[in-house]
Amino acid sequence: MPRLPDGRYRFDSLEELPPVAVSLGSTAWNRTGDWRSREPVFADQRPPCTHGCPTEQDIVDQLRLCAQGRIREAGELLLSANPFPATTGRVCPHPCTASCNRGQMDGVVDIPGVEAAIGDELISDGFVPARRPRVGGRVAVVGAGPAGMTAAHYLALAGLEVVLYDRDERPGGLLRTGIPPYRLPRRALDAEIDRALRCVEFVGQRALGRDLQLGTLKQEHDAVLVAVGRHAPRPLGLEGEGSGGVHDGLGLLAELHRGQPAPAGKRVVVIGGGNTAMDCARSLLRAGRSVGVFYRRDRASMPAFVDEVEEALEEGVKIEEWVLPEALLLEGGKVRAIRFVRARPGAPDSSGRPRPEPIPSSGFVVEADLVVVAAGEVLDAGPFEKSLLTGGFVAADATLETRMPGVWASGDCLGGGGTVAEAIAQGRRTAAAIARKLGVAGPEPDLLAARGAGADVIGFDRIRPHYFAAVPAVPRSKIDVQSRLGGGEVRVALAHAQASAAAVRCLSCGTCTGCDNCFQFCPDQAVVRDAPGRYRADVARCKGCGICVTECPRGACVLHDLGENG
Amino acid sequence: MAERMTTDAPRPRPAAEPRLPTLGEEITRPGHLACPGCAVPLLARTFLKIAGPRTVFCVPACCFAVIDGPFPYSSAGVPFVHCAFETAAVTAAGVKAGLRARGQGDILVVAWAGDGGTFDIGIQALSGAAERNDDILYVCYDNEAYMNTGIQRSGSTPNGAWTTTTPGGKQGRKKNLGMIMAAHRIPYFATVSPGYYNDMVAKMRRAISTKGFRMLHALSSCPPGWKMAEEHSLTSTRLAVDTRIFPLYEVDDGRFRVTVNPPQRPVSEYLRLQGRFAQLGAAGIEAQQRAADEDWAALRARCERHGNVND
Repeated sequence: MPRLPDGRYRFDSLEELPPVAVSLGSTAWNRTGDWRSREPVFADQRPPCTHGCPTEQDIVDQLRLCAQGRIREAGELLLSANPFPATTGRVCPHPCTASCNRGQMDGVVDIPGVEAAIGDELISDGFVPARRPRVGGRVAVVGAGPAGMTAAHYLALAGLEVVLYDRDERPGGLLRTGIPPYRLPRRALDAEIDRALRCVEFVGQRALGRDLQLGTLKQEHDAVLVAVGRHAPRPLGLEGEGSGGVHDGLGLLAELHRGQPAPAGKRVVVIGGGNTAMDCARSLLRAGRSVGVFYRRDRASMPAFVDEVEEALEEGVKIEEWVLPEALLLEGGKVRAIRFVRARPGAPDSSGRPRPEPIPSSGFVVEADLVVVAAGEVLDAGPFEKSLLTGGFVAADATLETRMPGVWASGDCLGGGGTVAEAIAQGRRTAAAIARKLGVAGPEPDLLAARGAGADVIGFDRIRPHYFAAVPAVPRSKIDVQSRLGGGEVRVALAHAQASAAAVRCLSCGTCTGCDNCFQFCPDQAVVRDAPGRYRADVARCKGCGICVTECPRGACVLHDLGENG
Repeated sequence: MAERMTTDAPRPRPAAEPRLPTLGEEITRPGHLACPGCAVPLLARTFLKIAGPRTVFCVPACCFAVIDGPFPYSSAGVPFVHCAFETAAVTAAGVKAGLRARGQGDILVVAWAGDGGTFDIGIQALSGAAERNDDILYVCYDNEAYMNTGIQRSGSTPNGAWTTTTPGGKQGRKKNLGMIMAAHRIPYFATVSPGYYNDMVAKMRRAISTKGFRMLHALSSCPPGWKMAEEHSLTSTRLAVDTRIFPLYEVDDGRFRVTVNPPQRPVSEYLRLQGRFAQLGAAGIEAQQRAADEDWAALRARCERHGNVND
């Protein structure tokens, strides 16, 4: 009985047949795939962390590389989206963790902790990202804050000649003048700025409108980027705001961080509820003053980051809610006290939050010899032509190009946003847009799309929690209050092993890890594993049951209906 | 540090991380005739990857006899003896005796039967083989009705479940196979669920390497018979465990031990996934919950008696 190439047998005579019926052939010829009306498609999707992150880092891959001990490679990947990981790991309000699917299981993954640890590792390693060969093209970047430095960095890596101007002597912008060292140690900041600006020509003490004019810059360069931020304090509109003892928040922080002594005054009143207000309050607390923060709404509505408010309260900052400043009480040209009136929530304003409504005859006086006004900042519109502005901010289209062709803008001067991460994201986006315009290969605008991931954001409904062993989150430890008032960093950075342990907890939402569930659980042996972690459906076999899709722990596989023609 | 000049190297990706235990080579072949989403081929595939090619299957009338393929084709990849409905256990015992007589006593002989051939029609032969402690492994894949012939109720159909012969839901409870087999004092009995894969693999390994009469009772989801979406096949077998309707335990020479501590979800989560329980009202679900609680308490008490409780 000859065996045919397809595994079947041919019986040429009755004698060849066995005495009982024996099936010697294989069913493998049977194309059960013809039964299917749907089929699985194996494709990575978007994890919620990346979706929440303005810089759209490839967080899942970064964490997995870190968990596998490949911290250098994790860092390389991180730097392709964000040149300042040691910085953002510390100062970002981490919207990535807000939607972390693990939060619905046993606590979110400490993404910022790992980011800072990777950033620190890159610094101590002395790692420098690769740069393309020089190409023709000159770009001027005005403003060396996070947005300007990021754009300058990526444009320089693309091989362009980049000049970065700033009104200050040193680059850093708000990172240096605004964020206190107890949140962002200067050795980390300096090291990251040095690395980012290695191939960039930095020229300090050049302010837009004073030493630089947009028109001239445009003539002398192939592209100009404006990233001057917003620094002009928004006044309270009270009489005597220019008197002695009254300071604006950002100005005060800049002076402190330049090493100047804190202005005189024992009893400090800070007016405002944003990060600047918190930074002023905590910095003055560290200078030995007693500090109260007065805010016109309740604590939950404060624009300041939750962590910052919590830490300020731990340290002894008093927070007074629902109060409106009414008048500054002066004595000999100096502030002596300030009169507040209590408020209650009124009709919602344009931001959807209740407008504070003064309560009649609820006034009270707070003695204060130092008043810090930190009620927000506005753009100093001086250097800009009216036609370039909308609503007090620089206007830009979707590619962040302004109404003056060849001039782009990013960062806080555009309005909105306000976080370092958003500034960095805009810097990278603008760098990509400028590089595209100049015809050179720039930074990758979408890292996930570049590795083939789809646009579906994976929510908790796509996660199969039973496939993940419980590993409780370890909260990052903080220095105790007494010691931290000395000025050192408040939160303890994760060590190498701790970072890896935190990274292991990542569920890799929407990203195939090669766990083999789909392959092993297919009743029809229809999932093909081309290489570890690379799967596809064998359409000759797949009956379309969808078990592979339901059993994928992380939503990296979807079921497609083939319709009537399937 | 020297400045590196290239950026076009492929970006690093993390290495693959297989999560499931590594088993042996693939023995079964595709092209079998199981309905989409059927758990039986998955059970057989996993079992044979552990047992290896020196295995004989003895299969009575049941779904698997059809699934394997029409004459002259087979998907099992090992000798596959079709036998009469009531004879799975004795056929296996006979094959084992024959192989031993020919000096091939190392070959694993498996009786692989559905719940009809085990709980009802084959129970006499099963009881006899267990009593004689024949050296065979009996696998009952339990899809809780005569699915092959058109979803008629069996001794294994759970209380309240719709079948074509119990259109209003079955009256009376499912036979407790574990207790029946434990009363025979066989060397090893275990319940397995394909939804708890690692537990299933461990028990298959244990059953294959044990001598004497041993039995695996596998809950085997049947999307058409359970009136359930195919993709929920493994989810349902997992929920059966999580709701304690089908607890995972083993009986080692008469001693009971629960192997998976279930998270104790409400039975409604399991029931509402399947159309065969659709006619159960709130009171019916309540009764199912009470029955599950009672059975679980009885199982726990049995384990405690043997000092086998660890929470």
